[in-house]
Amino acid sequence: MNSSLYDPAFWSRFQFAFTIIYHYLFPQLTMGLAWFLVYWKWRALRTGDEKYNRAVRFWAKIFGLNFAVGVVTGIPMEFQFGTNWSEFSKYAGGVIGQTLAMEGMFAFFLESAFIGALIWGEKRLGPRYHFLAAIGVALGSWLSGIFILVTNAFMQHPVGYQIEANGTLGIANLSAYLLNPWGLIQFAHNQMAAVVTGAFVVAAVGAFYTLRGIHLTQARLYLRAGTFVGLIASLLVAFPTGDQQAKMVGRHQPVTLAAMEGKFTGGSMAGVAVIGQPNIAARRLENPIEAPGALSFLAYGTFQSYVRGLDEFPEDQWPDNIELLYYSFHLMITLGTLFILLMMVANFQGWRGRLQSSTWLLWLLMLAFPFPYIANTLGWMTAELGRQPWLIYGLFHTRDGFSKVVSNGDTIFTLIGFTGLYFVLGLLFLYLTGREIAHGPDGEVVSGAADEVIA
Amino acid sequence: MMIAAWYAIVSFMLIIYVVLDGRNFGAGMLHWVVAKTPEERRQLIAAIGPLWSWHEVWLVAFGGTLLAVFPRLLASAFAGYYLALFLILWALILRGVSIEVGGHINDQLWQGFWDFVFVVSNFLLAIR
Repeated sequence: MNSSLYDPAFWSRFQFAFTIIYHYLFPQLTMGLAWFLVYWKWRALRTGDEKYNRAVRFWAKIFGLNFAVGVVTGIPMEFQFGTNWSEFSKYAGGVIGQTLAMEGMFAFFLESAFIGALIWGEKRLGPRYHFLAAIGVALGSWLSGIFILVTNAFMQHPVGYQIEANGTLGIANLSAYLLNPWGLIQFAHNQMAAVVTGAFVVAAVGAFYTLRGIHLTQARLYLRAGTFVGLIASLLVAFPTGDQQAKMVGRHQPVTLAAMEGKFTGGSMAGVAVIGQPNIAARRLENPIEAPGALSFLAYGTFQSYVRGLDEFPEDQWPDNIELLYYSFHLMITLGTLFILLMMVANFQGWRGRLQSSTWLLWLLMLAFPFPYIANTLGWMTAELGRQPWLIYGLFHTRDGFSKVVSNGDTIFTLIGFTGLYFVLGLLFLYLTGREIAHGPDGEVVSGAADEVIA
Repeated sequence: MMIAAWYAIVSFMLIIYVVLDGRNFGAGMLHWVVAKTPEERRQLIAAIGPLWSWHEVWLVAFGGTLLAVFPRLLASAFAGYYLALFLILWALILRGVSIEVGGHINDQLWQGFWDFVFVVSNFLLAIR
């Protein structure tokens, strides 16, 4: 990040980063939760057991709240392409606009249509169509995800484009653009991480009710589904999806990999730092404790593989905030490892039939739910800081992308506005979600009455 | 020829959005006039509740298509009208929140406040 606060690119970047980090807190839960709803709806259809319908009704309300905040915080993202990043939009709009428009038209439309049916259509639709509504919501939210990730993948690893006569970018090969290998791997990694968030939240509510000694039938359901899915998804986030993602960075952005790992000099038998603080001025990693050869092996397949260091690249190609990139990446890995351990223990205790009685474990599960949000955010910070100094990797610099006509004063004003508005929005969201959780899943059945029509 | 077709499509999307959401703006501005009792006010918002995000899809799709087809137009207009655009955006956010949140708690003070936000944000949206 450019250190000068007088740099207009800084404020546009800061505002985009703030608004997108905030926005993504909500879709990651809905994308993860959606398949829990599908699963429980399917179980209800198969067994006729009312407890599954109760679970769906309860979580659909939480889903609805998250969806609403996701929608209202999502619109500023699209706006900012035009307002703050107009030079970038002029240059690449012909390419990235394609997927953003598709996201709006197909995916968001699908999701908005089915979310209504899911939340207040249970009576009218009947069990079979209500199940289909859950599938529609899940597909819509994941389809949204893939369009956004394809857009981001183009910025990370541009493919399928051509340079038009006026110097801007256009699509040369739509299927190559949509099937960008970077996009597919990043999508798999990101979606598994969203499922981890969903699973941890479901398990945390189950743990809370169990510790309280209330809604015990529902709590058992949440704990079982949350810990089982949580373990599978935590494993899949690391392997194969995270592993493939790192290999992709090594292949296409070697300088980013060097910065992520704080490798100032290249070599074979390159290690992964377990602990260490990058010192950019001195060009070294301080107090390093390394697992030797691990990076060579993970990135390129053998312990002898040569990993290039930062010194092999011109300094103007280095990511501009190596420290933050390094810590984001390492903290994400640490958290991901802890998630696997916690969920292994939880599944082991569940297998022994002691999950409901292990008070210490329930406390851990209840308090663990914020950490997948943090890990998801750190993952995106790794991706986006690692892409710097490019806005489109190798094609277009971030410093060329912001709106020249918008002054710092304008951007700081809107940033302050967003901070205030999002603070209030966050309070409202927490209050209403807390209310739903306190009210619990065993309340009276949702009626079709007018006062319930508003989600 | 292609340009003219795209121009028609993009204009069509904007018109559809304005027509559909215009209904909601109108209802919002007249909220206090036509709906006198709390029950009537809930009913009015219930008539918008399930639909406004559908209507907003057209705005989102319009923005995305404009970016894809006329990037220079979008870039110049959005950056040029920077502050106005953000005021519209914030009013849209407040309007959405007031619809979603107002019915959540059956309490006069709570609903009265969100009715107020609903009316004011609709006025702000329509004025621009």
